[in-house]
Amino acid sequence: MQIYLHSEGHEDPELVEVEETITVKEFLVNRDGDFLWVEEVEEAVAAELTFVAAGIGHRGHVHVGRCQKVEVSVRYGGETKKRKFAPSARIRKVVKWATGPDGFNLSEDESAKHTLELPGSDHRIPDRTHVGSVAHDCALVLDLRPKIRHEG
Amino acid sequence: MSTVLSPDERAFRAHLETARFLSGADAGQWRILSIDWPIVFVALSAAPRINSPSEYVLRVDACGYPTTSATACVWDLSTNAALLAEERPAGHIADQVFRTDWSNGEALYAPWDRMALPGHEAWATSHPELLWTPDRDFTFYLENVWEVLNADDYTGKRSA
Repeated sequence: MQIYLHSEGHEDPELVEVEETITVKEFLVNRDGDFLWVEEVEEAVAAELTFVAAGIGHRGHVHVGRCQKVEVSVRYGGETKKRKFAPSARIRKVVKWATGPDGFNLSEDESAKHTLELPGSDHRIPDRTHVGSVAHDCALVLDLRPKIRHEG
Repeated sequence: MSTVLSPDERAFRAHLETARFLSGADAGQWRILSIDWPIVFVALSAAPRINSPSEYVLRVDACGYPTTSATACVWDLSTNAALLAEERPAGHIADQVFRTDWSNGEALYAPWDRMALPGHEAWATSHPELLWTPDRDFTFYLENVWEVLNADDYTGKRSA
């Protein structure tokens, strides 16, 4: 079967072939990471489990990395809020937290008009990007900014 | 007899095989309906809104890809014409991207669209993250449109 493999330092996933009976431990040999997560799942998959036993199906999304958690810092209005996420959490989840009551507590209308950006980046991070894919040294700094209409 | 593809079509089709494009297609974000080079019809899913469609279709002209960006018009397949103003997506950003009071509504008013760039050179510095460059690919174009159609500020079609 094929899986989408997300990893540190690579914003986009790779599509890789894998035997569904292979264990996580076997899969991680010669890969750049010590742990494997299913997308949006907090805990890493046990090393002795096979992919099929872990519920990973054809074209499922997994993340391989070295960090158990990524500390995400979101900057907005001169303040910084921090929270730890699993490396396989998607940026969309961070947006929800950062704009929600545990973050900067924006109104529903204001939340809809804000987005997260990597400081100094020349592109936006797609919502489906994994936190661990854009983190460095188990940490990630993002700016919460208003979506600006590109007026002419 | 095998068909020799033009360089732009070859590059375009190669980009449709990338994990990034396939991942979006598998997730139901977009699906290619047809390719009759350089015209491509693609459907993009939209967030559920009352009395609004679950997807919109773009008629894309990808001539010269990827040196120059594609240009697209939101399309009505039933009439084979540009989607009427009242049927177009609405919202904080959608109102602007799918406007009909510019270029007859035949292109997307956005930094990633080929037709919108001339005359908006300031976008290169004000919106570099949305600007087309030859090292981008079609998934970048689709992601930008898909995000507009699935943002919390998308309110459905204008007449909804």
